[in-house]
Amino acid sequence: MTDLLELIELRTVLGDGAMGTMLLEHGLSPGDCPEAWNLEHPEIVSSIHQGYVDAGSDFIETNTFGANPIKLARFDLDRKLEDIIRAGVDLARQAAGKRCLVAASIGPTGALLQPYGDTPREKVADAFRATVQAVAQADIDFFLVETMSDPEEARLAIGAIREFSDRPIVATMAFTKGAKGYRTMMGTTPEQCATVLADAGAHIVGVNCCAGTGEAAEIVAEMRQVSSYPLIAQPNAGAPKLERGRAVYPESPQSFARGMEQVLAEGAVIIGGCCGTTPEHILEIASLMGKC
Amino acid sequence: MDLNRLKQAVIAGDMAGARKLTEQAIEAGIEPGVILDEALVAGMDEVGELFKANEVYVPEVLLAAKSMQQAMQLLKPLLVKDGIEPKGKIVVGTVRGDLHDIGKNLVAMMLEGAGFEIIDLGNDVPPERFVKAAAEQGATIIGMSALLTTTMYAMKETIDLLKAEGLDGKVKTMVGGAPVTQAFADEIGASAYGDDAATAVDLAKRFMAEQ
Repeated sequence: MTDLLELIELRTVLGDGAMGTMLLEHGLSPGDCPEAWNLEHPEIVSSIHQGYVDAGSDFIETNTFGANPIKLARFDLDRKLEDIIRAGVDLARQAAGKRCLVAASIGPTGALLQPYGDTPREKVADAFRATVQAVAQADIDFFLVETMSDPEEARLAIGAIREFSDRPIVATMAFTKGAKGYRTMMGTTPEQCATVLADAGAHIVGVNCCAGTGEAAEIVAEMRQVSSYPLIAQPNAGAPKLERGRAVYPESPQSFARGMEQVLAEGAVIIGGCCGTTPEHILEIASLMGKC
Repeated sequence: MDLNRLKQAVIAGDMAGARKLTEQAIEAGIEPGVILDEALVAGMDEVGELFKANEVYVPEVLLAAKSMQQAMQLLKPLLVKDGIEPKGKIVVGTVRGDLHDIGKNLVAMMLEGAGFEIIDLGNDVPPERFVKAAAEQGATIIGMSALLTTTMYAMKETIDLLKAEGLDGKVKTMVGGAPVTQAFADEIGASAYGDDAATAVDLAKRFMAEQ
């Protein structure tokens, strides 16, 4: 399998869809640690990966989004960090085989950095170091730092990766739309984030976990204004609505795939899905791309 | 001593400045209750308005709240001595099954900034703890936060339990968090929905005025 950076020179790259909302569909309870399922229910994690591989993903993401010492400590699972990561990478690699690449998913710690919050920078940096060291020992193709709300935390994650690995780094942030346009929780714009992520050492930058393909297209367009870096977008299947006590994501596979055509037109070279997307969403994009 | 300078220090998130100016105001003999209302609470009010208008974001609000906390360390003992009561007691927490506390902390800090006493139960708080804390501490408002669509229904259990315990009406409930909407708040019978931390302050003030 070609390296990610070579692959994006050749053609549009298709990622996978959601893991977290899929696990919830399969019985993960609110308040459970999703990454613990790498050890407790590996067959379910595997089957979700397999769905994306079969749908035509060029890469799948390990179920390690929250596998960092700070987040795992909230579940009293920090001692299991390495086991959870090793199992997560193995499950993805087995499903991927030679058919697609494996990306190590690295999400935020959930802690707010000083001076705004109470968590020292060094504690967050060490948390990412521990995660990256465990990941770097396993068989992954590239890193995907995602759903970051604080550019500074994203920088720490990217910095930790650069300390221990020379694999490519993809970094995405979450934005919401307000009166002044798209901003992260910390108030940074897509343009600012694209620059910060690239300066920190990411090879590919972009957006994920935004409310739908329309927002993703607008955010990619804003990043394109300032960044010559390859761009990635992995939006949610719209903003969730509640129906009979369950979150329902409004973008069907068909409308999601059509929406992603606009995201590509704005200049994204890697596309995929976040919350609420399924193998059907990925399959629909794959067929529009003429992959099957 | 110009209290406006202290108010501006709070708005700017200048922690050291807020502390120093509070010291000076106390030394100048300004009544603690006046310092609280006209500088600190007034400053946080303005930050809340700026936040609602997207003129400032979470970092600025947190620094302003921390500046107010610096000032309050000096002021609190004096307020107690003067017999000045908090504007009200509010129990806050993130609901059962949900470990996300950034939003809840922001709401707690803003409410504190408005002069309320906050009983923060942390995250993953079961309905029984919300109700017990409110009853034992004499709080008249419960604020509940959820980031996940899967955990927000735990809010309804707290509201139902309040009714079962006969505290319905005595204790108001306000709910918020990314997936929470006005329609959802209506559906579960919450007293009110807050779209952001500044709105939570408005709601709490309204509840107190109604009592």
